[in-house]
Amino acid sequence: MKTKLIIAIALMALFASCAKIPRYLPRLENMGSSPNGAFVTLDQRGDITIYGELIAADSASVYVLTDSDYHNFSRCIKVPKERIADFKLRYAAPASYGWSMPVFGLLVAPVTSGLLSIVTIPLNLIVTGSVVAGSYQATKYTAVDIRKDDFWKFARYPQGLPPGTDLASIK
Amino acid sequence: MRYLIIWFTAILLFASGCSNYQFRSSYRSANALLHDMKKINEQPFLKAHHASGKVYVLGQDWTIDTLSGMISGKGTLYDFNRALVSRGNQEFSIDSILIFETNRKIVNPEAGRVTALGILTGVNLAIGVICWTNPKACFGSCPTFYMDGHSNIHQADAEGFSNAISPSLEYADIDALNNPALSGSFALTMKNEALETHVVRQANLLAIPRKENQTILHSRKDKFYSADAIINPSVVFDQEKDLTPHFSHADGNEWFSLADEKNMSSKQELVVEFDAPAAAGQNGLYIHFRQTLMTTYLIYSALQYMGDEISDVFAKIEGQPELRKQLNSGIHGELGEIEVWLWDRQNQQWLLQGSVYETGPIAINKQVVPFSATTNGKTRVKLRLNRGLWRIDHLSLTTGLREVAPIEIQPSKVLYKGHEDAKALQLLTSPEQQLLSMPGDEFRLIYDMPDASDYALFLKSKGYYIQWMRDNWLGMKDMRKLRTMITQPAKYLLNEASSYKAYESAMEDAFWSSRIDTKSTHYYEN
Repeated sequence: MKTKLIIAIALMALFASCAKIPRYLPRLENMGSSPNGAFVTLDQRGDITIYGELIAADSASVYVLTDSDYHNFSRCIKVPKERIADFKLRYAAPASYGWSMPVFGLLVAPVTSGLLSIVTIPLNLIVTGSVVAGSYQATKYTAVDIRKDDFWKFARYPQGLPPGTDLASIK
Repeated sequence: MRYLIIWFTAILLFASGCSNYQFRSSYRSANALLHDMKKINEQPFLKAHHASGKVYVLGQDWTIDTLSGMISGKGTLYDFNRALVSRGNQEFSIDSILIFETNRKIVNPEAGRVTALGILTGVNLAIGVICWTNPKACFGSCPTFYMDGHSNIHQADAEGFSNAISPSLEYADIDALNNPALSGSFALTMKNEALETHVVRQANLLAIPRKENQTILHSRKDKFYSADAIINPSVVFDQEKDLTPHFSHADGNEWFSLADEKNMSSKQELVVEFDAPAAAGQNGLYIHFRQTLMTTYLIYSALQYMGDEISDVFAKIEGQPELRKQLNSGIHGELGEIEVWLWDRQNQQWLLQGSVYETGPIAINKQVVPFSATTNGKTRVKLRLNRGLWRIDHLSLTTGLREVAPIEIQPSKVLYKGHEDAKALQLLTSPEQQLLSMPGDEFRLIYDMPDASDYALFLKSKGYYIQWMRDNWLGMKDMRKLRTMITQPAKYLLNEASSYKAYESAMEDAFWSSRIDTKSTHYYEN
């Protein structure tokens, strides 16, 4: 049971560390100089989940430039706010600590602890797993942190779509 | 172990301390921006979003000129699709901007997690240092034997042939098992809890019939005695203080001293008094003892000094009896045994009665030293022993000693991982053959007693073991020190004192703090 739990934590953390992070997302320390919008995941009621760059948001709708890594297309689409059941908003790329799990859990602990590694390997994996997961969570907002009405602050165009914008022209 | 978990929990707090940073402020007019200048000073980055969709990103030195209605500063201009337009000095009209955005620069955003990994590295290194200096605490021991198959290493009932680190040093080791009353059969679990190969020729029982209230004792010379009674000491003291509470009962409250910081082979004396006389041949001193980690330190130091020449050195040990003799007598001779001296009141002198000795810091040994002299009135005994080498739990005066002969019993069945192993039994019971036990191996040895009577049992284990070299030892090769250790042990122990002192307290702490929960450290319980 204990072994399964540790494996589950390790896999979750590794999965988190391997999740696709869009290139345009800045590192946290460069947030102030990034011209792009946040990366959003919008769970729609009765429709597919949308992944992409948050372009703009107004009182009724959210505009997202879909990410071709997640969808077969990359184009700006309009999503009614009322259709959004849940969301995640990542405003910066998490620091990468995925390396720490194999290094500490599988290399450092067995070499330094001998038989005690039966205790120290799980503890190292738990700590490094928490570091990985903590890093992944640190640059993300969910419905617990912000409201949909605050989306505009994290959009490429917080002022709203420029007048007369053709959605197809947004790249 | 408790401290280890506390450390990891503290690190976990650092690691999981994630926070969502409040770094962004947005202003829909220059007026609002100006009214919030104090905050802006703390948020030096300015993003100015133009009505057309382009954006200016300015660094720390941007300024607002309210008279001309212009904003200027060094930065970057991106177009509608965020392609770079220009980099350098930028200037634009306040009126052309629909939204201003300031972003506080986040300093050391990963400080908590970096700290957590830093501490984790430190803790792992500390464990590494402790394990390196105290390998038995982390890497186990020579063969360990348990009456209760589930016990952990700190509760081992016996440890076999600790000194036999090469084939030519093989010897038979006898340990008292202090078994409860028997009825018919007996079982022992033999474990390899170390990074070692154990070569076990014999694991027999020596059984001596035992009557109620009778104690069977073993001596350094491998003789056995029955004793009628045991008398606790009235007082035990050294040069400095009364130590009686440590020795008065066999309760695990062991006395031990720390090594001399100037010389590892420095000696000390304890004086023990009993409110009873002693008669030659009838009384003796019964001692419950084991070693500290000093011998472990010395054995592992020797292996480290050998470095990548370890096989050459061991080949020499195998082929040169003189070197073997030096190895056996050198350090051992300098450190000595626990000598027992009896006070002769009539002639006002101390008389040497014998000694007790057993290598190993794990199992508690119990040996008796029969007296060869008689005293009147109170019995006064002196122990002379190496400072920092021994842990003593109990001292007592035995009465009515009579030498007795044991019956030797071979195992009748061997179980390996719960299944009967006929091959292992054959190897253990044939004098010409040996059973190989690898790290993590665990054998349950079953013995059929001659009858249903009660017996006091002693384990007679015979064999040797081969230490596995660790990578980190290879870099510590020092053949000159090894030579000094073997040929000039007194000089070596003098020179090595300060190095040993540096590790002594950490070793003891590590060993004993892991006492409660080391059950989880065995390979087979993974």
